[in-house]
Amino acid sequence: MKKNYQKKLKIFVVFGILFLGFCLRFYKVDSIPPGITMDESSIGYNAYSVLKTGKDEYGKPFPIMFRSFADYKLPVYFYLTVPFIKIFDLNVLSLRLPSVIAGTLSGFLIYFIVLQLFGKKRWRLACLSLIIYIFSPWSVHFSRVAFESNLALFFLLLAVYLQLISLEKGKWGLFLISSLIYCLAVYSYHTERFLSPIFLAGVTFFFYNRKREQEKIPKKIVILAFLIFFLISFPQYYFLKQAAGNTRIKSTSIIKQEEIKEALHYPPQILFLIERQLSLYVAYFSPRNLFFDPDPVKTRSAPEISTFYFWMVIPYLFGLYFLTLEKERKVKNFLIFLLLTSPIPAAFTGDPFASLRALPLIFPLSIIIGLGLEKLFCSRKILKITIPLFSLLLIFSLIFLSRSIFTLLFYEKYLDWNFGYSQLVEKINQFSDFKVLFDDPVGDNYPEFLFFLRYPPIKFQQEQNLIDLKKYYQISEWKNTFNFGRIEVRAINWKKDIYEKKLIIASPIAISEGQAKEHFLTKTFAIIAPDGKIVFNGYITNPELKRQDEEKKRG
Amino acid sequence: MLKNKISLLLLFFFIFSSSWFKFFLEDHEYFEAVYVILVSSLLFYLNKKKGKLKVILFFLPLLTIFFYRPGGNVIFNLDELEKYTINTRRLYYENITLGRFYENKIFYIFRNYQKNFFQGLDLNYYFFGNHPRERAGIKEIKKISFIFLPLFLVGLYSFIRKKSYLFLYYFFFSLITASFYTPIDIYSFLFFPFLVSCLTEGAETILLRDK
Repeated sequence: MKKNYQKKLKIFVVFGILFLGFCLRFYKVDSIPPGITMDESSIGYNAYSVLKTGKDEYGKPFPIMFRSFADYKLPVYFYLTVPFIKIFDLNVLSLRLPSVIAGTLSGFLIYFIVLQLFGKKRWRLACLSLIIYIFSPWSVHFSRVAFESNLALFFLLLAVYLQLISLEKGKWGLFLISSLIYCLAVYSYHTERFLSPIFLAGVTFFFYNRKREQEKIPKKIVILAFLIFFLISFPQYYFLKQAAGNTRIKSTSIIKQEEIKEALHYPPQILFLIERQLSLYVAYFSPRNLFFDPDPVKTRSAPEISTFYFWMVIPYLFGLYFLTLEKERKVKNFLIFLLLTSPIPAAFTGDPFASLRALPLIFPLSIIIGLGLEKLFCSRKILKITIPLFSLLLIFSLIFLSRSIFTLLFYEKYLDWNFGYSQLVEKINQFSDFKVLFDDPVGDNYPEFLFFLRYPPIKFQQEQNLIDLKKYYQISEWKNTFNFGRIEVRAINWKKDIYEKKLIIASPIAISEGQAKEHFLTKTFAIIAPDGKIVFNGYITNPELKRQDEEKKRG
Repeated sequence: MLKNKISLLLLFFFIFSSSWFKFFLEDHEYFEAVYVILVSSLLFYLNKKKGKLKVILFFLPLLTIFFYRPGGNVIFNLDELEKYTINTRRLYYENITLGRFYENKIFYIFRNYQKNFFQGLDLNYYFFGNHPRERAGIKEIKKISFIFLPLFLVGLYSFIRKKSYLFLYYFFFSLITASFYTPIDIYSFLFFPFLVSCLTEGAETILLRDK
């Protein structure tokens, strides 16, 4: 009777935590962050394009990598967004909902993986790891935006969990399915292209011999699973030779070929390269980066909050210590393996602390912090003190998380989140007789308009005809001007544009008041940010007045 | 006995070979140089001894901070920018009370403390001149060569395994005390004895282990 009650209580606690985690991710997800990044808008519009035409924005039928901004994004998030767009239409909610769900379910998987690794007796550890993950600013922030990395983490965890069960129970079917899920992770995000084979091999290496000989999965099945993984993932690795596979690596990798050549001619340079690489790698274990400083890239963190809460540094350090004392040797070595391998792909990029690329690190870290908490807080003698203390810490943490995400992010980072495009589209619709020029010298904000206008994909594909589809995966060049419907996205041409009747939209920095006066631009509207500053100004040109003025000056 | 002598030699080798120590001498920070040599030797001596004499070590950082003031600010004095930030951010909230709850002086003081505390815990600060996250307006120096990082980790692990917590206590006591002054660099020399002790222990573990 008591056992039954305890079981029900445990289920209630776990689902309660998950529900709270889901609410934290779902609340105001369509308005905070205030706007969508260009990557998000590209994902959303391409998914919409696939739904409507079966092709991406370039007209490529069901691509296995989306060209997007010539950075070739991996396809799973795009395809997974399609049903959400079908149900909720193209909007911010349907775009971010897959990430919200994946982020919540990842917590569920971490809970079950911990139970699988440490046994059902360590329920508290599983529960603490779940709490650490589900309420960590790292996970909450990435679950509230359409980042592929968050989805890839879910598939990676699912694959690890299925593989652990299959090895534990000797179910070879599950082992094969887990290798398929690893493939999904490979097709979800760049980091997982490198981590999935490492994790697949790692789990097999550490846990294959855990059971007696007759209960083990046959070696033939293991080899078959590896074969399936490599066959299905092969296009991803094959693409590494082409623009589709290596553009992203070239643009983010810190090690350049010239440096290696130089180092070969001048050996002390090798020492410099090792030092730089090691410093980047060590940074992923630094308490300063994990518990205090936010990610330096502004869209990858909420203001003034790091990946975990500051007080978690104590269970982190103790967790590392207790990990070395863990009796279950295989589990201990496996966790150390996860901890050391997870940040490797991120450490090879130039960013000082790329929390997006190092997201798989949240998995071992949640367990390690949980381990520290379990040993420090869960002794029966002090439970009466530690439970209220832990609850208090958690409440304060959530208060400050809400400050960072729902207030500071909204008021201070709206520019990084491309605030104003949905309002801009409403204004453009009001000026239906005008041609519109949006000043964007790089040209990468065009999907924002496509997304909020719900621009018909078939029309966009016909109007653009951007690239030769036979070379879809090989072209890394980027065109920085876009022209669709009555909208142009490019830099202003001051010698030409002011002599044509059109609506010019630009930031206050791009067109000053003096310039507007000089060129007879009439300000018609402004898009105002949450803090009262102007994000965009809309001007109507006056070609006749401009010409008359020039003639006057000449005369 | 011989082992002890070799260990002492190693300790002095790590002190004098570090660029941090050279920095003290070049910048005429002789008090810091003397402190490092004396406290490192004291730690080395006390670690081998039993008794209550070890308590002295915990008062050393406190006494140093009390009598030695090379500059910097106490975290309790907020600068103009911080005061401006507090006032601006209070306007974000619909309710004044809520604004005062979230954006207040105590919170920013605590933040300054955390900034120093976590800087002091960062391995990149000691071994890589704070690369890849260098701070604006602060001259970063590589305090100890990165080649010695594995020795440091081995040493730290060895101390923990031996349950020889004296060095760790000394480090955390120094860190907790030094974090009251900003930037942490002013009193970071207090951590030097702990770092060289770990390096010595690491080298000892590898070189002088019983076969």
